[in-house]
Amino acid sequence: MRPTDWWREQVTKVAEARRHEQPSGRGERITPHMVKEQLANVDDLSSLSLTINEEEVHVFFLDTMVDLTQVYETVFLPLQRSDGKDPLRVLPYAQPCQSDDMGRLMNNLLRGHTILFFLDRELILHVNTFQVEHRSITKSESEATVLGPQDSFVEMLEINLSMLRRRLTTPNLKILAYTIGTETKNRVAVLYLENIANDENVERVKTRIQNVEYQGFVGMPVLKQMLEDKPYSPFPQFGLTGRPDNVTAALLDGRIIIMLNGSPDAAICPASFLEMFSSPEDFYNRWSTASLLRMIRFFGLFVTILLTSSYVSVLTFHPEMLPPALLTILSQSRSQVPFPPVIEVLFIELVIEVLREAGIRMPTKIGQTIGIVGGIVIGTASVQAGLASNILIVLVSISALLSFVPPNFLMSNAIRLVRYGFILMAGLMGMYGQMLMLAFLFAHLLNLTSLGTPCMAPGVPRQWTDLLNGLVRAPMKFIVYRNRMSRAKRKQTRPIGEE
Amino acid sequence: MDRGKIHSLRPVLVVGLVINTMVGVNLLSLAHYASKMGYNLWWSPILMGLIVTLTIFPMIALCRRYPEDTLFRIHEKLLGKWLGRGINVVVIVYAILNASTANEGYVRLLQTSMLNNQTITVPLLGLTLVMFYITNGGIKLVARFCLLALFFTGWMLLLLQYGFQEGGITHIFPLFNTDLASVLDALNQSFGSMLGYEVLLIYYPFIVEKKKALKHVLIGVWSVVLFYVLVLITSVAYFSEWQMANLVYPILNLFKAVELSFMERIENLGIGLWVFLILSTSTTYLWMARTGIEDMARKQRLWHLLLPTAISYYMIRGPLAVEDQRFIYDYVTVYLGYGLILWPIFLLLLHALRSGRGEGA
Repeated sequence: MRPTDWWREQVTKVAEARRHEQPSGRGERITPHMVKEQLANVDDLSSLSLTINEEEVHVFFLDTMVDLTQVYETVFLPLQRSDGKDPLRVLPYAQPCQSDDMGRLMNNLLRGHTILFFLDRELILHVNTFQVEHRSITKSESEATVLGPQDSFVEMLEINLSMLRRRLTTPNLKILAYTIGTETKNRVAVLYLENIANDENVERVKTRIQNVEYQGFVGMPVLKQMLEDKPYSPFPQFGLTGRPDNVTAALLDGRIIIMLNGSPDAAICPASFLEMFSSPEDFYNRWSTASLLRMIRFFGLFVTILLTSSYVSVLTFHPEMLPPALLTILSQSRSQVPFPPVIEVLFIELVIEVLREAGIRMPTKIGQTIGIVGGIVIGTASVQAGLASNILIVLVSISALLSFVPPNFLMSNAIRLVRYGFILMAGLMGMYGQMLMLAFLFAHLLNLTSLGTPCMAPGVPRQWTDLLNGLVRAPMKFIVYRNRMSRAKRKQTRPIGEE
Repeated sequence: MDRGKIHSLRPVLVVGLVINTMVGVNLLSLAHYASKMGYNLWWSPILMGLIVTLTIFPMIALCRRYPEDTLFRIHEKLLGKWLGRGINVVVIVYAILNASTANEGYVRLLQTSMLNNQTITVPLLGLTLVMFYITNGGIKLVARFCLLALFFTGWMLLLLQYGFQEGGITHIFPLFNTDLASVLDALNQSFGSMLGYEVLLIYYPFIVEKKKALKHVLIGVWSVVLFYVLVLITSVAYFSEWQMANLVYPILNLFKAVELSFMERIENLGIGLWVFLILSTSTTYLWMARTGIEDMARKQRLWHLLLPTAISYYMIRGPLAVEDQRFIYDYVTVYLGYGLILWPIFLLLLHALRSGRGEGA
């Protein structure tokens, strides 16, 4: 047996053993005392012992997870007026608990349910009284658009799902719920349109989510990394968006959406590489403008990875490539710089990176100041001090600006990382090094898959009509077929022929 | 990763694979190799295309008889385990030599033209690592990379207009002003630039539309012939006969005809981008070597790829003298190639004999 196979087998065995070891919480009959014991030192636990209609009732809820008025109105008041009737009839939203399933009872209590022990009747009920403060729906800051809907997801899964339900009033919208995270017990929703999404893809998502074993998820990007096909790649393989309109469009295209409670983002899968350069605004703009902007974003990728590295390779290895006039200007601008081009470029690129990082972490107003200080003061001063040439400052600025153009933040980060590889290779082997790196980069991208489908579609064409909604956005009349990337059950977007 | 025998090569990938495996380092010197024909060299690719087409028919005929087997398996079925494996080793050596030929020619060119002050160690190491990475992704990744390489380098054909405008098209006249000996010499010298299609014998089982494979392979081959004719016509128009006979890399000098306002010496960019063509050739051959080892070992292991990669690297960077290497790449590899493209005829005969005796595959 190969060592890798042996290792895989061991990991599977441990995972299986853990699955069996997980306490079901089942056992002896649950009493109020046992609940108190389990939640000892939990300050926000309210434990009340009441006598209602001459019957002893123990009530448990977490102050921080419920609205007291709601508990009073939906639980206490109906019970007080019940005249000893069956509580299940009096409390329409109440559900009976298994009297020996401590695990499930705890789960409900911790999720904001109110637990009622009717000792005389030997009955335990739980009522959903969950009510917490939450952030209101605001504009998307990371994916802002001028046109189109402006709402964005919040941290409450229910609100996010309601935003989608409002947009997709079809019974075909299916929402599968899972609970993951051994400590956090996060709720995950998998959404898809049953009549469009590929069944195999849905099964893959289900299996991957069920196989996730981790203590807890603080945001969708963490879960996404654990679900993607190639987790070691710097490039994202699932889309990530905070906009309901983006998610709606993806669902209509046959994609599958994963949402996590507590995270204002949704993962879209499968997603192609080119889609990371698309914005929902492409469909709100006229087709011609949208196509131009898409091409700028995509070719911006090449410019941002090749611009500063070309500066290094041309000045280090191939100065003869420059026209004499440009070479003169460059020589003059670099005459004071004591470093080789690769050190000079790395220095300025790292300064820009530090400025960006500092600008993000600071409050908005200070962040702006830092941008001005960095951009103007440090830039000008470093040129005057002879640490960098002024032409390089222009190139680095253009390159930095273009790296922020892709609407997908993770893609933008990946591109900036890859750029350093190009600069180093240019410093080592000039233009050949750059091209070798380009070949490696594209080979890597060609090797990436999203739910098993190649990410480079339609670069490696799966269907020629994909090109109509790829690098360009054709007029709506021509977008008749769904993207082949999603392997949708129904290929056409309009009821023609097959539909 | 596309390991195992899955039918993963769609028509467009087959065409891309054929084109890019054939076009490699030899194109850079094509006009030089065929210079014996003088100004008539421009039609030599058509002759080579005809030879290639003729040799493709037996290949396809053989593959159709064994649609799910690579050449390595066919050898074992037709020649028996030991003789079959012996021939397989020769084919694997041929594949490794071809990968080394492409890499060696390219890194020597790099050293001559772009990286004069460096040894070939680092550029070759970089090239070998990327080649390894791509090949590790399987034939589908190799084929996709070939297709991508076509997009990255195909535009360079447009640059031919500069050379064409500066030269004189009338150089092609008088037509057929050459003798048979010169034609045969030119064909022999330049046939290395047509090799690459014979890998079809290995990737045929992976093709999706096997019934149309012949058509797709021929589209690839004749596209290459068209590219070569275009390049050679431009060379004929631009160069004198003496230049073609004496310039080792005429394509580089053709690049010099390009005049752009924002860039001089565009050949640096051209040579840099050529790495896509080199990689698409060397990865296909490396995959061929790996498949050979895997088919013989009947299992898949990483060292099946590591071994040919390491051999290919040490062929170039090892103790072998450059003169010996040149002999191996220019003669041994090409003659092995001739043998391989004619080999299916023998195998077909053997198949017919065995079928006749009721021992069909």
